[in-house]
Amino acid sequence: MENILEVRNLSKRFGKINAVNSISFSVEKGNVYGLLGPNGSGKSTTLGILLSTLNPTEGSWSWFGQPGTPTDVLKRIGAIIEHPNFYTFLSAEKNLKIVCEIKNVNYDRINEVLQLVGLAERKNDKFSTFSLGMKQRLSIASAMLSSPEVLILDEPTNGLDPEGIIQIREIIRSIAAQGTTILLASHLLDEVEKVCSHVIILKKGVSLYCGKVSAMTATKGYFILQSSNMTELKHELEKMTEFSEIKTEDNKLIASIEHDITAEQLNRHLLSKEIYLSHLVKQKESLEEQFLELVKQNQ
Amino acid sequence: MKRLIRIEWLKNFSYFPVILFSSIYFSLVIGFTLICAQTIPIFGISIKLLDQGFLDFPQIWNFLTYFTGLLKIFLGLIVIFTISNEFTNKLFKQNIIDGLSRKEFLFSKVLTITLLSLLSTGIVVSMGLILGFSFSKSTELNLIFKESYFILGYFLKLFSFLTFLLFITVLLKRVVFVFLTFFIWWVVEIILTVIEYQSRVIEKFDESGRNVTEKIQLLTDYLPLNTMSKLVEEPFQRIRLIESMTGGKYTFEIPYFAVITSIGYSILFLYGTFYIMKKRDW
Repeated sequence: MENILEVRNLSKRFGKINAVNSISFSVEKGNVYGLLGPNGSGKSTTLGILLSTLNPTEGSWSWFGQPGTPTDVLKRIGAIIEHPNFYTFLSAEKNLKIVCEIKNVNYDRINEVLQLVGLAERKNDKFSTFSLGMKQRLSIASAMLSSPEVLILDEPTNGLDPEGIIQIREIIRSIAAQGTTILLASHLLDEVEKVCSHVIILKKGVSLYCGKVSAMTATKGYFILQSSNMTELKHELEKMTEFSEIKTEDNKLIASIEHDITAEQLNRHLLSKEIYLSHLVKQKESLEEQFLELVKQNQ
Repeated sequence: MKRLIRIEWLKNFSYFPVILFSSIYFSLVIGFTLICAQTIPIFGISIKLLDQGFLDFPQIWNFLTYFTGLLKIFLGLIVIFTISNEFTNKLFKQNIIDGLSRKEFLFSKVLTITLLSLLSTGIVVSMGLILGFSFSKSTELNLIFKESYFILGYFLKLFSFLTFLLFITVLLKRVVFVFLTFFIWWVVEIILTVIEYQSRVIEKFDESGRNVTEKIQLLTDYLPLNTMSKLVEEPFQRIRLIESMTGGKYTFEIPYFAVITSIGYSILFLYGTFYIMKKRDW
């Protein structure tokens, strides 16, 4: 797979604060990446450096194999940072014309991208009359003008109402479906889980994980079990080699799987020991649980 | 370059402060030159400018460029408001992310400044020619072009003044801070000039009471705003009334030191602007 972006040991200090502390990751073509981390974990700083608006303290990176962020590379990237920044006194169309001139794109694209985000009818209205959701959609339209190979989104649904959030997510999904590589920074686990195939987890400026969402933790999931005879059930489970940890929670047993075992196999085994289950669920950890687990491990 | 001009045009043309200040400025410049033929009170004395030889070639250039030069703050306001808007609304940052290099951004602003200065110079030149041909005693070609330095001096005065404002606006971003800093800078230059004048220049008068103080080059003349104002000297010393009072005959000399230091300051301010754009985190 071709690497679109490679980041090596990137650091940024603001005075005494290490906003980004020697992080490394790479972004492969065609995937949707989530840059995940709580507020203040260095997501925006990292994106700022990669988009050349912030000067790094240390480290290097390359876009499409070229070191740093040359201006020509920025024209191949569509990026939305924090709040939508536009000339408030100009219409949507005029704002996009400025971006067209900057990116050397034909004005014909303006109508196409406005259609994509559903703002075609408002193109002659001043930017200052737009709602936050519309402003955010105009940002996406602006980022899509040059048909970018990579789309960078920094908290694109921040501050939007549920309807706005759904609209933005749908637009992102349709862009991803066209094969555009997307790097999405968010503190919303749920959002990353819904949209991304890969995830980079940041905490206090350190990257904890970079890879597929599905391969995030080594654990193979867990069973939630209940039976009339809980002590015997627990005893039996402890004898089995498939489980790494068994704990009681809400009158149910949680058995973490170490070696693969299906629900059917477990049920058959327990039946043979004359243990009858009233509750049997096999689950994978949600991204949220995996995330919390990772954060805990690295404390 | 065409692309950058198009970008600047799109950005600025419908911006309210630009429309406001440019219409005020250009109507004042044109209006001012049109009332020149009238009697206006200066220093409490009503002086008919026409009688004082103001509208004769070549001193008409000195006169027009000096007085229209006083209005340059309105051009300055256009620069301050547009640049401040780029930085306070994070539009500069967005431009960079969209793929405009810092060099291109600076160059587009220099283009705007140059065009504004050229436009103003062009108007002053046309008004000078119109007034000169209507009122000047002589319209010989060599007289018309004799002091054409003032046209260049005027352009340079506007250009260096606007680069100075570009620099402090990029440095401070907010309009209020820019106004405050500009005002303080102005006052400080005046105070320094007065102090140096008091301590270095000994005023001398001859028997008839004429001022024969020796002219020396003051260090404070090299301060940015002083240098810019020295590009176009005040024209009062050459009007007939004053000449008859002092008995001296005015001779015009090109202020080379002001030309060189103004160009130097412009380069310094533009480089400083670029340095801030590059080194600061946006």
